[in-house]
Amino acid sequence: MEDKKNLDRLHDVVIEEFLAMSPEEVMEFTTQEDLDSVKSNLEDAIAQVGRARLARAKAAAATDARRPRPVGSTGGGDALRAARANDADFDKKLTLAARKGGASYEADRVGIEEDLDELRRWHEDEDSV
Amino acid sequence: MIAEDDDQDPDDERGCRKYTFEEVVEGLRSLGAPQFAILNGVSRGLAGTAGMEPDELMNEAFVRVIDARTCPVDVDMVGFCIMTMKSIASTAHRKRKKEVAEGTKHVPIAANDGALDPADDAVSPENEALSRIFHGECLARVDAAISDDEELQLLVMGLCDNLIGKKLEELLGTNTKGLAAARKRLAKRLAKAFPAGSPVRSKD
Repeated sequence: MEDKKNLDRLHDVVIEEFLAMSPEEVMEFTTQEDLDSVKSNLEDAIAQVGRARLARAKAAAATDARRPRPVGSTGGGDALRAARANDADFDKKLTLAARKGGASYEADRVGIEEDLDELRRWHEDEDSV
Repeated sequence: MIAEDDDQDPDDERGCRKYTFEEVVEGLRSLGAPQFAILNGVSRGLAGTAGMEPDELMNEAFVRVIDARTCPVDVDMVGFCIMTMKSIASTAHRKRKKEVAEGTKHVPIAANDGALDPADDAVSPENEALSRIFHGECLARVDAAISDDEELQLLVMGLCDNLIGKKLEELLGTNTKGLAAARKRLAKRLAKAFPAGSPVRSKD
């Protein structure tokens, strides 16, 4: 990797010398065409980054739109009741589970309500930012 | 809030504020002609000896500076652009490695002559070969650019031997002022030697 170190030293010389030049000296070295090219390059880069930022924002919006949201609820218990009211199959399964499950059903129900509560709080935090 | 947090918090964990996207754009657009001239000179001096086109190097540096938003507010923007260009030029050989990986370039790897420890995961024989070829080509371009100037050849030789100050002056047979003039001449020669569009990559 000796060649790389040597090239790095030469790069340092180029940088140090150009930074040390007076404005008059560096302008003597440069043509108007060179200056126009730099400005054009800058505008291209700004446009390029702008497009990339827009693409990222759109992708983030699309991802967010796909997130499941709890049906308007004020608590995990309300959310679970609302979900049962909106989904007959789900309601039937929970009813059967309640009849058969006993203690394990209760643990599941509490767990579901807690999960829905946490999801609701997470969305509220996001929306308030 | 669903949009990415590009403009929400330009500070890093240590509280060092960085320029926002808008501040970087405004700062770069407000640079004066001498500052653009410096960027132009540096990009030409670095690009040709890094196997890149000057405009390619400049564009990549601008994009990084604008998009990454890592420029602290107390750092001069021209200097930051130059350091970014230097970083890109210094790692330009990785692009060549990518070209090889994509199959667009072939690298002949010499038989292991024992100089490399095959167990060294940090430097594979292929990467070592790529680096040698790439940087060797870059140095060959430097040699070609100064082939008519004995003093510049001595200067490059001294720099490659890591000589500085008095030792470098002795090698060139000059004094401090003479060395400074030679360094400036070298910088300008390298910047002029590779105008936009000149071939910098080997055609194979």
